[in-house]
Amino acid sequence: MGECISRRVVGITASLLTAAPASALACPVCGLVGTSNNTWAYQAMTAMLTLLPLAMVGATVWWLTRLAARADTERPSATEHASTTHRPVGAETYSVVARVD
Amino acid sequence: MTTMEQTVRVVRPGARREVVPSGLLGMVIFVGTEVMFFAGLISAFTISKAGAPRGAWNLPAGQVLPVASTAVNTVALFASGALLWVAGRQYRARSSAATQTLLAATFFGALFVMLQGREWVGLIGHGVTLRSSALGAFFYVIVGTHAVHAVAALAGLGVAWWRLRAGRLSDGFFLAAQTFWYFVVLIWPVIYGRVYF
Repeated sequence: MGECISRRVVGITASLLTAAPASALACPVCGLVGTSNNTWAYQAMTAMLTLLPLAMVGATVWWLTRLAARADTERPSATEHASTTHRPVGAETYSVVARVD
Repeated sequence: MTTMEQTVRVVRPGARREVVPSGLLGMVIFVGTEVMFFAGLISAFTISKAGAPRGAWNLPAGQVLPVASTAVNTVALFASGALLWVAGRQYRARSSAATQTLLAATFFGALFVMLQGREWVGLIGHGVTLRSSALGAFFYVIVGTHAVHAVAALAGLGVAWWRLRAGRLSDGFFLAAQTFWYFVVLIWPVIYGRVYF
């Protein structure tokens, strides 16, 4: 019961804060917005801080994907392994035969 | 009666292979967080500078930031980065061949930090402190944190050189130290261009 009430209080408080963004000045310099001709700077830096992490995460994922693809091409394929007696450790190919009556 | 045949590939945990050294991946993630740290500082600087009243974004007593001498320091930093790149190529070809080049890269990096320190001493002597003005505060915080990163990265390069000399340097450690130093080198032009001009 008490836990349910505290959840409601947190939910209502969060809703009120989102409805009043001017009161939630977490950024120490955001209070300067509109006080002079710095709106362009605020918008440009907002764009930078939004796009920069996305670009970095994207670049890292692309880099790791490329490395993994390169590692796959350098390693003999699973089919080749299955056709020889030298199978890779941990990777094995089985033929499963199912009889359907 | 119908018979169906299907090929099933079973991959056990032992089949996992390392496509990138763990040390390098960890350093890349760390550098990503540091890039965002500096982006936050640069953002705060840019918005504060744009919001400052005309003529109020100055150092006290008509002092100016040492743009020309810092350009010389920047050349030393770039030389260090270039030497480290060469050392990386030498390391891949024959690891022991990179010893001298890695030492030279570390030397130029240390030279950059020392020259920056000398500039700081001069500025403090002229009354430019953290509390003297907003520009002074931003200057010391941004350039100071870069210097801290530079010192940490130099320590990494020093350890790498020591291990290389002893024949105990792993690829992962060298790549991680290299990545950290490249970050220090490449973030500097952004700081120099924003803060000094």
